[in-house]
Amino acid sequence: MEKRDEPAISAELLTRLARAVVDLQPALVIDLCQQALKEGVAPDVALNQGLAKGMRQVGEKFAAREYFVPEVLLAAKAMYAGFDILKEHLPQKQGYRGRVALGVVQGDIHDIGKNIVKVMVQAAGFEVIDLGRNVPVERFVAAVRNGVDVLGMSSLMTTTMPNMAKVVIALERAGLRNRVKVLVGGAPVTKVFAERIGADGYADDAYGAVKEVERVLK
Amino acid sequence: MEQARERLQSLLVGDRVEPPVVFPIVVANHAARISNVPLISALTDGEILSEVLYYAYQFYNYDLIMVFADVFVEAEAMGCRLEFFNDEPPVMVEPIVDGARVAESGRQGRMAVIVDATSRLVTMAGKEVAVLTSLKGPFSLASFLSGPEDFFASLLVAPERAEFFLRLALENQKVFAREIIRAGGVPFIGDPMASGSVISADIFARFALPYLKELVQAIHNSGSWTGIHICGDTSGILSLLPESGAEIFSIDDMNLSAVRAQLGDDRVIMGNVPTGLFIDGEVAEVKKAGVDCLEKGGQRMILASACDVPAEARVENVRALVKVAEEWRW
Ligand code: B12
Repeated sequence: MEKRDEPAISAELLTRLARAVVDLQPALVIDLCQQALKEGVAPDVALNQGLAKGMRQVGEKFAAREYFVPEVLLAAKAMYAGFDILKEHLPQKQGYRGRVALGVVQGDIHDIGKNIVKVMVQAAGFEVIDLGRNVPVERFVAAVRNGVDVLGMSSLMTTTMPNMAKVVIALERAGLRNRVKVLVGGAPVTKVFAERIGADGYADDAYGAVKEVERVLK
Repeated sequence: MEQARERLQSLLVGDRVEPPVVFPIVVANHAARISNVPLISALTDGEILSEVLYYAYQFYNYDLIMVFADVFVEAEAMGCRLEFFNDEPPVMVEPIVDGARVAESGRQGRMAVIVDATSRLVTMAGKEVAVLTSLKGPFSLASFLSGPEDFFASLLVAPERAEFFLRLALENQKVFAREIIRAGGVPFIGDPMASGSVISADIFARFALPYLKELVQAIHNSGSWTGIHICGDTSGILSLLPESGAEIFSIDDMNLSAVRAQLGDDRVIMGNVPTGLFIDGEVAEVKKAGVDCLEKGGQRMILASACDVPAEARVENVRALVKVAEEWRW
């Protein structure tokens, strides 16, 4: 595929791609990604200035309570559909800015917030390993042992928040604490709590979560 | 002083009630905790559930009893798979998706535990206090049956699929509600997934409200009144709630003056001392929050917690809320 020198056309295409994500149109996203490749738009450009840009706007709408959870999840579906098209054409794995494991602590099934964080962190160019919900301490530790840059834990209940501290302690015991940055979040979690259990960062929404991932990896 | 049951009746027909009806929403988890019973026994055995709830009722001396075990009782009876713990609420490990069906009776699976606990409590205390029995709203139950992610996607791209699960959930809850009423309980609807923290007002109006309405209608037809509790920030949907036809609206941690303004002066509101206060707060803070509720909510209030009282709530804080009502004069 030859790179054509038609920046105006590709800029318009990228805008349409971003809008297709915001408008929750997976089929259109797929079409536009294929078209972008055909027209010689670089896949990483289509990813960052099309799909991810759209997803950022979705994040803003969510924060402004214009979009709610179903809309964000559908936008994510659209983004992933486009990503699947672009993926094969991306320059190897070096496309990722880092590797983040995310999970909801044991005893807690509130995973809606975690899923939204996952979507936004992925959209920002990180590889995400989703550990799911009701995740036992050992599974978090194993994920770190297998090599991740950031471990993000979510808890929506005061009763399960102490399990975050248990993971941090288990990481220390296993001699893995220095290998990973730990972030915590979820509605009842506070900055003070994060500091007290020895986490490296905290955010109260998905937007902030992305910023924290970027900050701790600097 | 009139008994709790009469005071609640007076409140429902529009009379001024003194002292106001008070109910820190103590359900299985906190009740089991203060009774020194493993939560799992209360969740799986109607007799034990009734005993811990009765113990808590006597211990705190509040004005309602609520039979509630965990949010997945009906979903499990209809086929979802759960994982249980000794002292934590269960988690759902698998939705059903295909093969979901309406329970054959109102006593299928652990629905029997709930019905059994209800009739025992009615026998033990029904003369003096109303026994409310919690059941899920169709929206929340449907989301469990199909799995929340799948369900959310359906709402936007395959509404007929969402409606299939909503119908199924509604039919099941009609059967369950009838059984609860037969046992002497008042069906009280909880719809946590219909929360304004999760879905938009449009989705609520189209996929949650119509089914709530039909369930309320069915409950009324069986001769009972009912209430609805929705968790989280419901400011966007409050003005729609009265359309459901329910008699009581139980609301989570949000500005009560605004809630009162939106719902109007006549509606009975139940709420809304933040649940976290019962764990971390001081007695004086709980009292202040309680007084605040009565001042902002006015006479047509059931003074309550914003959601269920957490298992590890401090006993003196729960007591403090009851005390606010006892000492209150309009
Ligand atoms: C929806 C909901 C449910 C659903 C969950 C479905 C699901 N798959 O997630 C259902 C109905 C199943 C449910 C069940 C229960 N729930 Co509930 N639930 C809620 C509700 C209404 C909304 C939560 C939500 O999804 N919010 C929307 C998301 C997008 O927000 P979020 O999760 O906060 O996430 C954002 C941020 O926090 C941040 N973030 C999140 N994670 C992370 C991680 C990192 C690393 C970072 C940086 C940031 C970050 O970014 C996210 C996006 O912006 C809340 C009410 C509330 N006020 O929060 C109660 C609430 C959380 N539930 C509560 C309770 C008690 C329960 C039950 C125990 C009820 C019961 N007695 O059985 C069960 C728990 C079962 C279990 N074992 O987990 C209580 C918890 C109280 C407490 N002890 O702290 C709450 C607070 C209600 C209340 N007022 O009392 N619930």
